[in-house]
Amino acid sequence: MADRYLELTANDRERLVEFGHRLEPYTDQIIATVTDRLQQVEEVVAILPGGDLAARLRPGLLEYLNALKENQTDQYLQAIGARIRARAEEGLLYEQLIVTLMVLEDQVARFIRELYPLKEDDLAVREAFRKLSHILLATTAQAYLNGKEETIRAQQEAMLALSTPVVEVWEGILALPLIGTIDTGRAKQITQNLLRRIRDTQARIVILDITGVPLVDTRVANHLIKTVRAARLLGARGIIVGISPEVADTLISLDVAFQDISTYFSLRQGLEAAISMLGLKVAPEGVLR
Amino acid sequence: MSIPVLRVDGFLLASIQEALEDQAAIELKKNLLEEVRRSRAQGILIDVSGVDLIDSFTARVLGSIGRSARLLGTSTVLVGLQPEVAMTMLDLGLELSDLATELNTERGLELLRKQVRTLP
Repeated sequence: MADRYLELTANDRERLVEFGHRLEPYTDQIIATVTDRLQQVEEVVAILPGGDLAARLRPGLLEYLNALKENQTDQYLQAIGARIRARAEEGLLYEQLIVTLMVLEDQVARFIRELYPLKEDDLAVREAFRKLSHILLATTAQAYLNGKEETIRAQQEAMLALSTPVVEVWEGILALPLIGTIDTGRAKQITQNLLRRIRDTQARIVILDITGVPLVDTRVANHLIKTVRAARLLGARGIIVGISPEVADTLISLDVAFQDISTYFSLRQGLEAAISMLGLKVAPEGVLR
Repeated sequence: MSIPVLRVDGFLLASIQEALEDQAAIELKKNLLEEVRRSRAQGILIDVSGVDLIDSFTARVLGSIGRSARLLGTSTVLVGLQPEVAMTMLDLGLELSDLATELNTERGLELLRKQVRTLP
């Protein structure tokens, strides 16, 4: 059976606890060398906190050393993961994060050789320590990604919330100015929103304006067709406007046909057509009288 | 449960109030077509405003009512589809392309009257 690579064995843990105890007298020295080194690393200089750096780094390093000594590495990793997730959402760069951890690893690893004169012990501790460092890096990477994904998801939601207004431009005519990319999720939301508005306003005609849609490919075209068919189910006719010559070209080369859907170049033409479909007419004052 | 078929202004009106069992759907089709033949109604209105789900079987039967009625010279309009029901139907790929659809009974009647007026 396969075992997890990113997991410390009981033996590893034992070694690390013992290593943690041996490191204890050197705590101040470790803090000093990590501090010194970080100040010389170009990647991280920019994010180092101001003031007495050693004092600022101290709690974090003590936490790390304690986790080694007390065999609390699992809890430590969990806590670090949560913190890094938050930092990722704040915009900390991945490189800065990873380099900081690598500096820490380098500096602590230097003590192994000094503290373990016997070659055999040295190797076993080195092995356990390297594994812990790998796990720390992996945890960090995952937490960082989770944080970033959270940010992206939040942004997507915000964009959806901005959403698509459905405007009643005339009695019985709704217009939907579509702006931005249209994916399946958004298409569904737009359609749902539209259907409710059709029911509420008793609209007979719906104008989808795709002037603001940057890319119209087969998928987007299919979403549009589906939205028009949905509107039809509620008795409203769909018109698509804002089809530039380029988009028309793409649609033809993609072999997408808006068969029974009226299309127009501009919103203006679409509105004109919609008004005349309702049997109405817009004319200069005086002409109608 | 059988669906009553009413006569309104020369048209037939069937109002479905809850999701149809398969058997009830078939019976509705039979009754409607029989009534078209007997009364020479010029249009059929099927109101589904009270229905919260239309499955593929019901959709198929509704479509076949539309096609059969057309052979008898009568057009069929489905009215009152709820937005949520329409969304689900689209997800299932049910587009009811054999039927005219309108928002509500009033608009459905309006459409039927217009069609009768434009008959040759």
